[in-house]
Amino acid sequence: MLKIEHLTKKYGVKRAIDDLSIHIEKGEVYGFIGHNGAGKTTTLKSIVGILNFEEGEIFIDGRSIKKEPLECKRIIAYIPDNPDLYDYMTGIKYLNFIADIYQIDETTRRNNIEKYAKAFEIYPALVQPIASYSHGMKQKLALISAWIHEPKLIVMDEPFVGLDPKASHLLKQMMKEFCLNGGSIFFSTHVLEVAEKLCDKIAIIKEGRLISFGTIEEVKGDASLEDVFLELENKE
Amino acid sequence: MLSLLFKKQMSEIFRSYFYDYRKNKPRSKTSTILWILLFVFLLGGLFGGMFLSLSYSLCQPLVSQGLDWLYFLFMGMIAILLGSFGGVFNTYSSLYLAKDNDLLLSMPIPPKTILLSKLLGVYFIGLMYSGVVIVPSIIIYLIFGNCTINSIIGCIFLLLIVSLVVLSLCCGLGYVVAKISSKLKFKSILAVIALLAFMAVYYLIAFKAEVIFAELISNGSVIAEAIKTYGYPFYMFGEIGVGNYLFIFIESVIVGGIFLSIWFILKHSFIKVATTKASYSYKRQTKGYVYKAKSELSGLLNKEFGKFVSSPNYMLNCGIGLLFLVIAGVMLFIKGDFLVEAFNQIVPNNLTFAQMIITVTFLFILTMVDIVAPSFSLEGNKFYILKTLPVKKEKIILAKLLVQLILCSVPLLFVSTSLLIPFSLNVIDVIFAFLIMCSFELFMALLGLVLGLKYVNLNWMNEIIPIKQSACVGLTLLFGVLYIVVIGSSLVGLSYFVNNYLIISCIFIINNLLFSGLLYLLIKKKADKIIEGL
Repeated sequence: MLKIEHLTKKYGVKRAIDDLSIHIEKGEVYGFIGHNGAGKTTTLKSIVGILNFEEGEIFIDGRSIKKEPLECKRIIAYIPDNPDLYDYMTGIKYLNFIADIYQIDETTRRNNIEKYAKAFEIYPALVQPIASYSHGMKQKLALISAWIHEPKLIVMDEPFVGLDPKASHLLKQMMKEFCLNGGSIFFSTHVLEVAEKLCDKIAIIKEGRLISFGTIEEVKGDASLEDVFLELENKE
Repeated sequence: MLSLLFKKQMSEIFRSYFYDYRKNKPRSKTSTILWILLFVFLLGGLFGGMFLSLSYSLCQPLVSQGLDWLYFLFMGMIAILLGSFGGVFNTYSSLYLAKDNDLLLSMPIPPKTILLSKLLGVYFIGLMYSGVVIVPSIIIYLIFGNCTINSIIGCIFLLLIVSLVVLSLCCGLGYVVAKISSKLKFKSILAVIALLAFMAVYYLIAFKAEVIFAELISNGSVIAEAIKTYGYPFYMFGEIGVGNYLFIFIESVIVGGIFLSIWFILKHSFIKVATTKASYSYKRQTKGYVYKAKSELSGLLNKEFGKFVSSPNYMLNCGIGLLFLVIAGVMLFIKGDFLVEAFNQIVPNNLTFAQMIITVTFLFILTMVDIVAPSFSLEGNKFYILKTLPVKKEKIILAKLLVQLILCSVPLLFVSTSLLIPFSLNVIDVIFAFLIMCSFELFMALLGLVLGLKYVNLNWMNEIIPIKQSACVGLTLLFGVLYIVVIGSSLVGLSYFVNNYLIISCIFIINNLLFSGLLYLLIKKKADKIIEGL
């Protein structure tokens, strides 16, 4: 579903991402771990077409994000670490806007908006302007907007930040259900327990380079993910 | 503690003098000094000078009639009005909407100290604005009126009482503004209407000022009698400046009492006020959302219109021309005959010349509509949304262009029709007038887009920066005006010799379309790359 091949992204002379390669199959939840400034967000932004990159390729469902950006974006959903949404819109207007762009028919958008907004318990608040939302509510709205157009790949940057325990639990369930139905998820997180419990595979990045990747078992062996992560960080 | 908080309050109010929001970094010392000097010049020199001149023209005529108190009453009321207007929005933002209320309340500072520091800030701003009026009026009175110990003491009390009245009004009105603002659904549009209404009243008064002053001077004694009969507290207020100790005492007790009541209420409600977020009046809806599917372009257009009507700054700075255009059209309907007659005297038997001048005047007004210019910059940190969506860049651009063109279409049709009656035009002429304006509007929108992309700035803290202070908006206006000066004037000149509106119109339209075509080619060549790099 997602193939990152020798991705290199520079800011001036600094290599934010250095020869990064990751493959994610259909149905996989893939975690992306690294310290602050390691290059996680840059990688995620490159995948979804926000940032250009100098070297390498990114393929989504076999299509290059560089050569066929629109086709790729049609099957991706992206949730940034800080969901800055259009404050002047109401929640429902924002969701309808996203649905219009993805050309979602009325029945599907109604079903999906009602399903997820009610599950996240913000359905009654959709009438309010986004400006009045708390960080958690904005995060929930961003999540709903990602799910309503039924993408094949969801890319999320720290998706659990700002969510209450109930919403976090719901998101984990939604992620599992999404992948069971053939979708793939690539997300960054600092919460190692979440990565350990939720992910099929993980990748650890440091200073733009991949230092370890594979299934949870392959990466951590008998130790805890936290110990392995700290050891790798110190060793490198 | 209080002085520390007051200093913080002041640095917040005057932050723009020390920090450059456009460049997102502190200003240099020279730049800070220059900005402060400019502020002092504008407030003290320009406004202060204006009120000094007003005081001078009123003081002697009123004092010579023995109506010193009427002079102080009049100047005092202006000071209160200006002080309250200048301070009320500051109160609203610093007292009721302050972002640091939570932080300050979490610190070991007594709430009343926080409140007092904020009120001191409000008092200072009120004093500054009201002082611009009352200080020059006191100076003039002491020089050209009566300078006695009593009047000096009276003037000092007048200054204090005016500033206290301003503070009380600011607190009260600020509360009302905060309450109304939290309940309104279309607050941005209402804010624009309120501001336009204020401007209209202001200009009406400014135009009538001379008549009002003349009235005040010639009918001073009659007005004075009426005030004494129907508004005795106002008479007492005026007497403060003269040095009437009894009235100073009574007014001090009244104003002091009002302020103490406000202080008492605020002291007991401050925590609630400071920690209550704006409660939107929208009813929490549990059923019945609209899920109407629209095209991609309609979705983008809705988004752009939503942005425009949500921001009073955007509407006022980039769309005010639309209103002026309608006003100009109405004026032409009303005064059209007079204009035609006037033009006929200048250039007899050549209506084309007059029509072209009117058309070009409309185009001048149209240059004030530059909605497209800041629209890319206004995306700010939300631009990532558009970048991650599967939507062609051409459609994003088209939506931004269409907003301006659609918003202009109705006023343009109206002003084109307004040419119909005074110039006895036929429908074809009106259609051509409409086409001139539409093609020019297309040129302006494309120009705004080119410059908006060239000088795009997504890193701003306050939306006023891309709207008001960006190069793209200023240059769009400038180039628009230059275009009219060069091309429009040439065609007006041509119409002096060629008395045929259709021929001139065709030349104008072709010209506008040619320039629009050039801009379109430029956009086609460069826009993709620029948007890609944002």
